[in-house]
Amino acid sequence: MPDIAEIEKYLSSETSVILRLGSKIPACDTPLKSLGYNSMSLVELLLSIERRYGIQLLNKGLTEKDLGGIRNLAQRLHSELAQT
Amino acid sequence: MKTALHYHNGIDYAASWLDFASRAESVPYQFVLELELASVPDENTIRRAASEILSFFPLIHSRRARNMLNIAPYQRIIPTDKTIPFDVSEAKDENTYDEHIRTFLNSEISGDFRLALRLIKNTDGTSSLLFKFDHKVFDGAGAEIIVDTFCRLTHIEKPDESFKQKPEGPWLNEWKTQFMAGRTFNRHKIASKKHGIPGVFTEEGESAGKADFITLRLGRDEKKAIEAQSDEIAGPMMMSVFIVAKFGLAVSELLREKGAASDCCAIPVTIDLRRGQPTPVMMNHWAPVTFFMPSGIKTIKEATDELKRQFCEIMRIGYPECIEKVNLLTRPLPLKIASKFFTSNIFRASTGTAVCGLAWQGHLASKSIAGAEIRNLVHIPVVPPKPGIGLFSNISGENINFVASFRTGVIERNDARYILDGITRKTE
Repeated sequence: MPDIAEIEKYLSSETSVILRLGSKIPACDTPLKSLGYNSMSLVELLLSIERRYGIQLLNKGLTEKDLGGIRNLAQRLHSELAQT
Repeated sequence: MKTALHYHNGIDYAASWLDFASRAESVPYQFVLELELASVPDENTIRRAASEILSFFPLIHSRRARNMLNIAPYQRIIPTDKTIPFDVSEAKDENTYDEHIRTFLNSEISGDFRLALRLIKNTDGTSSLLFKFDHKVFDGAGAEIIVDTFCRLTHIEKPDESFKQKPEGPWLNEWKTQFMAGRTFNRHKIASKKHGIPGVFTEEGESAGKADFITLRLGRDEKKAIEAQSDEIAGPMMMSVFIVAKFGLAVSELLREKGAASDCCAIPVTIDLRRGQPTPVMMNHWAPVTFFMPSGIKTIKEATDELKRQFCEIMRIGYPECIEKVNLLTRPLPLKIASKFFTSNIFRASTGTAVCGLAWQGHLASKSIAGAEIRNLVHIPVVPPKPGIGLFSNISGENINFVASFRTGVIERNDARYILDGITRKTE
C-alpha cells in the first residue's frame, strides 16, 4: 500500500496537469478551491484517483475537510486504501 | 501591416450556428454583462477606455470570413478609427430600468463591432454600465476578462500586456483528434437514447419572439445558505450539479403541469474550459454537456445523485473537450447546412428542454470603474429560440446571481418565474 507522502506526491503532480500550473508545485495545505479547482476539475482528479488506486472517492461521502488541501485528500485516500 | 488570423475553434463555429438560428427568429445571439455601480462613472473616461480597449482585443471590431485556401472560418480584424458604440439613458424606476436592458439585449450591435456599451443612470444616484457582447466571438468568462481590462483602462494602473488577445488555430490538421472526438460524440449521442424522449416547450412550427429575462440577485447570507444546502446534499464543491438538479426538477414540474408527455428533460449545461494562470482570453471556450433528468425523479437528493453519476460518465470519456474539436469536421459546409445538424435535429428539433450556463470562476478583479464602485456583475444572455428558456448563474464577489432568460412566444413570464424560484424553493 502506498504511504501518505507518495499519494501526496501523486496528487500534486496530477493537480499540476489538471490545472495547467506548468512547473509550479501546488501547496499541499491550500484548499482545493483556492488552488483553482471547480466541480469539473475535481471530478477529473477523482477519476484519476479511481484509475490509479481503484477507489471511487466521489461516492464515499467526501467532506469539506477532505478537500481542505492535497494533504487532507491524501490522508483520506490513505485511510480508504487501508480499509480495502 | 498583415494581421494574424483568428480561426474559429469548434465552439466558435457552434456559436455561429446558434447565431444563425437565433437571427432567423428575430434576435442575434448575444449577451449582456451588467455592472451595478454605486455612483455614476465619468462618461469621458468610459469613452477613452472604449477606444483604448480595441488595441487589447482587436476582435471587438471584426468580421466573420473564410480562408480561400482551406475554407476554414475565421474572424478578420477590421481596422477602425471609430470607438465602441456607447449610449446613455435614464431610468426613473425598476420597470424602465429593465426595459432599457431588454431593448439593449434585443437590438443588434451596429457595424462590425462585437461589443456595445450602455450607461443607465438611476434617480437615486446609482447607475449600471451594460456591456453587450456578440456570442459568436466571445463567451461569458472571456467577456469578464475583457470587462476587467476595461475597468483597469479607466484607472491610473494600466493592464498588463499579457492580457492582449493572441491568435490561435487553425487546428486544421489535427485529423486524428477530430475523428476521435467525432467518435466519442456519436457514441455519447447514441448512449443518450437510453434516457428516452426529452420533453420540449416549443410546439412544431412555432416561432419564438423577443428575448426577455427575470433576475434573482442573492447577497452574502443567501449565497451561504445555498452553499450549505449544496454541501449537505451534493457534497463539497458540487454546487454546479446541485443547481442543475434544482433547475431540472423545476423544469420537470413545469413540463408535467403543461401536460407534456416525456421520459425526461434534457439540460445542456455550458462548462467553462479555461484552466491555468494567466487565464487565457481566446474566443469561445465553453462546452455544452447534456444532463438528463428522468421524469420519475421527484426529490433533490435523487436528482443530485443521478446527475453526479452522469457527470462522472461524461468526464470519464472526456466529452467536454471533444465538443471543442468535433464541430471542426463540418467547417467546409455552408453555415446554413451546418446549423441544421446542431440546432434542428437533436432532441425533437431543439438543443434540449432548457439550457443552463454557470460562470462561477469570477474573472472580474477590479473594484471600481471610472470612479464608480462596482457592487455586482450580472450575466444576461439571449437564449436560442429552441429551447427558448435557460437559467444562467454567475458569482460576483459575495453575490450569486441567477437569470431566467426566455423567448416570448415559447415561455410565459410566470413560467420563467416559477423556474427561477425553483432555485430557492425548498425541495424534500
